[in-house]
Amino acid sequence: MIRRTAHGTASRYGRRDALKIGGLTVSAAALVAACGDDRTGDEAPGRVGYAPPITDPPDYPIDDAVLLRTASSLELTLALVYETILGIDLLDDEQVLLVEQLLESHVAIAAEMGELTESIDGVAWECTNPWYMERLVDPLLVAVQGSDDPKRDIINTAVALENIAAATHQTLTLDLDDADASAATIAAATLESRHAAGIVAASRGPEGYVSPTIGGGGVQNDAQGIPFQFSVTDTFGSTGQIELVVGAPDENGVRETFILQTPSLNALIYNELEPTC
Amino acid sequence: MAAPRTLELLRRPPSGKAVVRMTPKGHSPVDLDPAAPPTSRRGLISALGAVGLASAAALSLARTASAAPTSPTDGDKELLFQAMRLELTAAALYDTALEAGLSDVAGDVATVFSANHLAYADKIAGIAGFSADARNEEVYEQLESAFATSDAESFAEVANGLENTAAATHTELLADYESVNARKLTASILVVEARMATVLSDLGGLASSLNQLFEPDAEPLELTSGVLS
Repeated sequence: MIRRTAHGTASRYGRRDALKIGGLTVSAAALVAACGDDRTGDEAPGRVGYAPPITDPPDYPIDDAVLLRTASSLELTLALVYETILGIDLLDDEQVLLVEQLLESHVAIAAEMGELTESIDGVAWECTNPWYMERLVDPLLVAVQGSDDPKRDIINTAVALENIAAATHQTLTLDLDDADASAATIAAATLESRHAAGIVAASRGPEGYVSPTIGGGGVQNDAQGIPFQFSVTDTFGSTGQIELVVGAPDENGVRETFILQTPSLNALIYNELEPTC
Repeated sequence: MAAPRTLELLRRPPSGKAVVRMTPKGHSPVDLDPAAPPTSRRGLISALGAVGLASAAALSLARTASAAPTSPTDGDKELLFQAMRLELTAAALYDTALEAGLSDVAGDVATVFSANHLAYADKIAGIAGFSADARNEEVYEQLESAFATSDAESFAEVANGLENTAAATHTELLADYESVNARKLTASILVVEARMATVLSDLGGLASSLNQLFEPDAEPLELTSGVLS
């Protein structure tokens, strides 16, 4: 475009055009700079409000040894819970026998997982799982011991832990490359599924055999509003999270709810981790 | 309470305690809504990115899954067909007990367990591309008379044996499957069959010890001949 001045001479660009072009140039330069690879500063997405800092999962390789070490750690965590339960001294004779059997089973499974870890040139993990201990077991045991009905909470805790251990092994059996390790984890999943079903059958009898949710019914709660446990909870073995309600109610009648999940990146016992016991 | 993060093992804080909450106080000066609705191009790209990250995280543990085929191989299908027939047989056997007059708690259990086995057969057929319409006649004829009872204890005993055998059979098949779907489905079936066996053991008062309850002797079914061990 050609603009004519007051003197009648022709000019390609006026003052307004110069301003426009200048602005566009600056904008384009800013855009190019933003897309460059020499930017500095925090690249984390912005956060609104106050929230605990996010813990990034370790960036370590995951192999069969890591999965087996994690399985050992989970088994030893359950063993520690049962040892604590026996120490509370609230159970009747039959329940003590049951808990002793469960304790023995989990110690045996942990040992088997340890042997399998060493058979694939890994280092067996002989401690509990620090992630579960800190975030689940320690506060859970505090809640149980301060409960208005510790025996009920002990049974519900045992069922929930057996269910999550079974779900963990069910998951691991698909992830493990080693055939012996895969076979051992599905055997553990089967045994722990029987444990969970057996605990409920022993404590609730026929009423606890089958969850009404299988037939399309709703979740049933006891008089205190705590969900009932069932031997057969789903048609297919679930690996989803489990909610566990324990402890005494607060001033609003609300009890603590713990969310149990199968181990993920934060809870794995990587080969690089040093023993915690 | 905010939804639990995928990688966190969260503990829900007790209500009424000092916890961090975001309490609305009128219109927020900060725009908390996404800049673009999910239906826009930008929103779609963001959503796809999020799905991609989630998928990457989910797949990080599935090392074997990445190497194995997802869908059943021809070899898997041969075994899955036998497994499906076994599940249809189990469902039919529970129906036989119900037709014989099994009632009360045992009847309720048989009804649910029959439906479970039918669901397993349907699911197996679904992933392998079969029609779920062929039971194992040899196994059915072998157990039909024992299941045709209205006596809860007799029913519990024979059904407990069936469930333990089915779980052992799936456990053996699991090692032979190549595909992810066959392995995943089989694992999710056999752990519930173990639970059902435990329930039946309690119903019939069958176990004389905790060892017998939790670690019963059970041999896998020889599927080629269809004979129970």
